[in-house]
Amino acid sequence: MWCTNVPSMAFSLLVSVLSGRCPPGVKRAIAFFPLIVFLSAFSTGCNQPQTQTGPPEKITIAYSTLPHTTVFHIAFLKGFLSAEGLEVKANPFPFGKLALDALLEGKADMATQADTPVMFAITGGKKIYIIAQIASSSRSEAIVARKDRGIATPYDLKGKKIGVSLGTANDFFMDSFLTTHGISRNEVKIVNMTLGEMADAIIKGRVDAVSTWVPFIQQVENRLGNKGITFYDEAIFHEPLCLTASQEFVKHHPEAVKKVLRALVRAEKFINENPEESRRLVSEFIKMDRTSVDQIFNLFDYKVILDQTLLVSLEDQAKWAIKNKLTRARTIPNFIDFIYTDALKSVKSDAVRLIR
Amino acid sequence: MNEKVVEILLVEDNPTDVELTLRAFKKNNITNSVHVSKDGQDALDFIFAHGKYADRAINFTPKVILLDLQLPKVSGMEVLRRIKSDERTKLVPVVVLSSSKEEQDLIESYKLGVNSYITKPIDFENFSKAVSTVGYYWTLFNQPPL
Amino acid sequence: MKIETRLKLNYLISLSVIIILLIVLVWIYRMMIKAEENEDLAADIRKNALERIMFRDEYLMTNVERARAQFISKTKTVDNLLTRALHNFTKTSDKALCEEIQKSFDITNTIFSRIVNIRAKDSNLRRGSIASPEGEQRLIGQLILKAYDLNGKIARLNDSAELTATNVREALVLLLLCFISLMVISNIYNSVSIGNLLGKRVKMISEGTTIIGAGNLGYRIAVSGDDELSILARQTNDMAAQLQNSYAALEQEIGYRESANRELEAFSYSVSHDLRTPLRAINGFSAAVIEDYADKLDDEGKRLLNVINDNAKKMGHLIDDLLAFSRIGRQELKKQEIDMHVLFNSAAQNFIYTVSERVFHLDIKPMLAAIGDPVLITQVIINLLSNAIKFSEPKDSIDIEIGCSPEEHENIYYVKDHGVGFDMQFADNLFGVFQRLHSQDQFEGTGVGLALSQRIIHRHGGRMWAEGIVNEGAIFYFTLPKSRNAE
Repeated sequence: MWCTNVPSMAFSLLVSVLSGRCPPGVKRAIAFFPLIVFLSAFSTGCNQPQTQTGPPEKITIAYSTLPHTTVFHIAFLKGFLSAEGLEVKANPFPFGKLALDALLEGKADMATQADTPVMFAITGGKKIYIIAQIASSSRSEAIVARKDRGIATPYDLKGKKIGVSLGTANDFFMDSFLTTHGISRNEVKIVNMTLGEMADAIIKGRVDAVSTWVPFIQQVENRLGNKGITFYDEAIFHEPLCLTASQEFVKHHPEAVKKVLRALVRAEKFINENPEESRRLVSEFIKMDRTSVDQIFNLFDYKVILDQTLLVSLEDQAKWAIKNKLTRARTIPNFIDFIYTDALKSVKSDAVRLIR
Repeated sequence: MNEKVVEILLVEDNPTDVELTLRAFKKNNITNSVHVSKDGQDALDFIFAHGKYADRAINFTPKVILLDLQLPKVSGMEVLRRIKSDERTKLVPVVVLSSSKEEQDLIESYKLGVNSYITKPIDFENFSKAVSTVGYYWTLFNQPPL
Repeated sequence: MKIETRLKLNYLISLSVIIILLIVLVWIYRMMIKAEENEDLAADIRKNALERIMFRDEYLMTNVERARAQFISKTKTVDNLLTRALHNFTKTSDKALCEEIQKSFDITNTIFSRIVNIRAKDSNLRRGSIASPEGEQRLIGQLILKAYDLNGKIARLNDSAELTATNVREALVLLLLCFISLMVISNIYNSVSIGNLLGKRVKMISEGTTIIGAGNLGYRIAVSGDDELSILARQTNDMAAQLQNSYAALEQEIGYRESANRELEAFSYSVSHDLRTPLRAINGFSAAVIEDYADKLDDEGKRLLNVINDNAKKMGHLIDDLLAFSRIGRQELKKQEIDMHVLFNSAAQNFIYTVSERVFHLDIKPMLAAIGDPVLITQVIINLLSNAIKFSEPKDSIDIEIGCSPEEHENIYYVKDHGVGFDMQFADNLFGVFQRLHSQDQFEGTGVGLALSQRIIHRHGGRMWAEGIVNEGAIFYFTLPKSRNAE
């Protein structure tokens, strides 16, 4: 607003000075006018956070203690959320799925998690909204295999025992990985296990490979040493991290949603400008050692957006879930109805690239 | 004739001028009695009957006074002023007979009430003519107020 | 500060502002060109990326080789554009975005070639007629997803480039306005302050000079500052001081002169009085001798006495002339406008009778009016005419011409005769007191007339001079100030 008005203001002032219609006091003030214009033009802090009046709004957010939730961590740590007048109760969870569960159980107003649990929740008929993607990565999933079990290329996985956490993003990644390499699910032995169990399982030889997830990829790699081999495949995988909220909450607290987003946008800017400090803060906050944080941090792209990739990703996974009967749903829901764009549009309109 | 009436008073310090004046009178047959005063003080004493003229009757004033301006003791101008400022003598005709051609003397004299101002010509012929004219006019033709 | 310095400063400020403005303009203009180039480049990338998607979809749906080739060709185009973008975009965020775009772009290429590979292996696949195998389906899904991601990023680059261009344009306008207003304001301020200063100083000096000019030489202008007008004020003060000194010296001098004059007056008074008396005695007694002793004197005795008589008379004339001459210097002028024609004419009338027995030609040319004391000027004219007549006497006839010619501020009058004239080498002696060019026997006169005339003319602020040729005649000139009423 300022930027468009300055030239016209300057022009009208100039005209009045030249025509000599202004009183002497104004003349003196006008002497300093160019200085003011200069200072204003070059000060970039155009949208300062609005200072909150009235009592702070209470809100509970369930978040995962993994580096890909950095945007939320920073927003919380740097006080961007409280600056918006929010009193945030932040509940930590080891995985996003657990955070979403808390949301679905009504224990939280908002949650952070990958898109897979969100897809399951929506196909399962849960009334939730995706508010924004807060990060994304194509290298957050990988298959780590033991070379001593004769695995050198993706094709060598045929007939091998693969540890996987069924119904999660690493299940979807493994499925895509096998399928695109011409291996069907039946041609491998799938062993269901939690992410925490995977390192032990592969070291002790109960499985030949594991489809796992950051930060466990690095954990497993470290323990296997040169016996291990890691298959990333950026071509077949894209994982958006989402901020979700119950539809009920969004309906009743649209302003709170905007405030949260405004804080997250500030955090995004902060992270991109201060990556070093962000890593240190996150490392302390989620109590993860610096080496692991450093390994994982750059795998993610920290941007608060809403774009078409989210829809495609959700649909791809829904297709897979239906086909593998991982959900009771028989048709792919219209995910666009579960994406709430209004808040992000009003906070940062060019961040919304979702065609409705 | 001790109470001889003086008809002409000549106030002149220069003896040659006195002689030339008297000669001019004689030459032109002016026989009136003439008294000569050699300085201003003497002239005043004579007119107002003071000093050596104390026994002279003051009311017998001369018919005419011929007055030079350059005089010892009391200047001619002062004599003129005293004559013209005294009620008893102010009607006596006074003719300034001066060798000065200075305008300021002329103006001053007339201011004081002189009856005539004559510059003495160097040429005796003219001098003689001027003196006799004055003598004739004031002694013979002029009718005094009383 | 000097006014010249102020004006120079004003000029320098304007000049430097203009130079800075030019530099900034050139700089911003280059930035704008670059921003616009980048804007075009981003738009180009966006357009080509979209066309590439169309070829991709055509190939995926129809499996036509031509579409694949076109996709590859388009990919190369986009790749080149991206390489250029990576080089051209300088902003850190834009550069990072370009890198991301390149990465996403590479991934889409990888996925596409994997799909092409799968199709090549699966020879059973007929052109889009049957559903592709699941692996391919998965890859196509990802390809679409990555393409959205890619296009989103390209759109962001596009927006950023547009924003940069807009910002640069706005900055340009803003800077222009700033500089112009800066210049205008500084110039207005400078001009107003110089104007005020000039006004103040000029008023002070004008008031000061008016007071000093009115005669108060003791007045001094209150001076502050070191500008040219302050210097002028100081110089005016110095001038007034100098004038005051000169005036005081002059007054003293006038005092001396006045007392000298008074002495001179007293002297001439006594001269007139005292010298005339013995002369009169000489004249009177020599006449008395001739009268009284005529019978006792022979003719020679009488003649000698007459010589004494005549010389006494002459000496009387000399004294009279000398006194008249000295009186001219002291006499107050009663100036007025003079009709010179009337003056010359009535003066000339006096002489007509004296020369009536001879041929007398008098030619009075048209006359211009002058300013002067008519009594004194008449004296001059009579002197000149009498001279002209006197020196024409040896000739058969008397020819006199009187004329006038105007100059810028004065008129020149002349009296021309055809008499005996004079030798020009003695021209300077003509106007000296008692200076004569001819013997007393030839022409009578005391030799004071011309000196007296010149003195009168000098007292009128004019000049007098003469030209002559022996036996041919003489011309006497004098000047007088012009009448202000003269046409």
